[in-house]
Amino acid sequence: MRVFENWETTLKIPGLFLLMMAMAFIRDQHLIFMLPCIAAILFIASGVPLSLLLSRFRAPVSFLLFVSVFLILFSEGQALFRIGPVILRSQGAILALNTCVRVLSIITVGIVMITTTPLSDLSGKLKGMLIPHIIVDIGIMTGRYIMVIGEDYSKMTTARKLRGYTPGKSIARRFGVIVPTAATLLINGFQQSERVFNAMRMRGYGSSAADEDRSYVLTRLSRSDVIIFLAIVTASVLLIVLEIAVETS
Amino acid sequence: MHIPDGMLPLEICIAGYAGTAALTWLCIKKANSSSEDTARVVSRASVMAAAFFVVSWIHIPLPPVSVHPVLAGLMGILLGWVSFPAILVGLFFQAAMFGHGGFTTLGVNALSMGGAALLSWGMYRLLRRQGERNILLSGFVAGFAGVSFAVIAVGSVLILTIPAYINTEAEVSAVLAMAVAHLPLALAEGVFTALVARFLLRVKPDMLL
Repeated sequence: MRVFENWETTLKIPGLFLLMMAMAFIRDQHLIFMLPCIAAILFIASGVPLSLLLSRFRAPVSFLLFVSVFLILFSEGQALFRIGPVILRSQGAILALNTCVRVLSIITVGIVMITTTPLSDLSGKLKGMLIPHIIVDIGIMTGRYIMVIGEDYSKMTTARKLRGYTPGKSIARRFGVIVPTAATLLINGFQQSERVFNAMRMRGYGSSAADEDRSYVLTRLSRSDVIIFLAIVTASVLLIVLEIAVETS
Repeated sequence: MHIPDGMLPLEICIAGYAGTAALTWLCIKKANSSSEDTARVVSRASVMAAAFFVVSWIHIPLPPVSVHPVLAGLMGILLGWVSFPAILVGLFFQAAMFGHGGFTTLGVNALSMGGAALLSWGMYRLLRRQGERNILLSGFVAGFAGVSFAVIAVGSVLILTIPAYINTEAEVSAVLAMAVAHLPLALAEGVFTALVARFLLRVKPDMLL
């Protein structure tokens, strides 16, 4: 059950990203039902807990709900049924269903991709995937400092509570709490960035010798890495070809 | 405010990535030419992106609810050109850690949010040139413009990609409804940005660009 965790990151990221892009291309109502099947296979093979998947669905659900209601109520075409002045249209209902299926399938693949790849591994390997070094470096350091600054915020909140300070219901009083808190976090971040800058300079960041040390070394790929990659790429290409064939026919 | 995976057609996702790549390259080039040190750009963008990520956990009161700040305007006025790559990385972490936004739509989301930050920064600079004392006004305009531009950008992309058989009048109404629904958020963000900018001007003025 650790197929995806052991799959080489340099193949996993482009492979699953290509699959997500191919899924985004599908609009045909018959082909769309292949997407949850593919997503379910990947999800089961990844061994990612179902509770994690469901928790990640929370964020897009409200958005999906709004879009679905809009599509059902405001599309043109045959009326399914009427509730007072509201007419539900079949074309809108199909489109809303297609959208929900596509969105949830792509999110599932994205979760499989991100939860089976450790951040340290991901950031290191991204340098070999045409992503500029500077963006990868910003990503690595942001990941580290989210934890550090998050801890600062947690300490500030605890200290405030220990002193018995509650913001209350008045908006002015609440702004009086959140503004200094946010500004203090930003000032701490700014000062920390100056210290980080000095440390990076001392370690020779940006020099040609340091860049050579950090240059990407191609990892040896196993046969299973390549087989899974080819299977994912084939599925992606097949989806795109089928969609084009359906559109043109 | 973030468009999730699967909402946009492939062509728009690819165009979003192309636009983001071009704008990221431009912003890094501009930031490098002004500070003449890549290490400073990397350290400033990453630590401040992390700080903004944490600040976005704080709820702004907006009776009867409270909302997370978008912070596009504040990032613009504190980071300038660096705000775009910082927002790009921040959006990646939001998609990876919380499922806000998505990986296929990352380019489009970065263009709308990052573009909003750059636009806010431009407006802030224009207003600040008029006089050093109007920090509250310039901060408010930056915060308000940040949310408004992002809403307009996201709304336009969504409406433009909706299939042709959707009622055109309904499309226009939906964009208007979306804009009106976000107006209180834009106002709250404007007030928040103005107050934070005033605090920073008093405590650490060198942070403001």
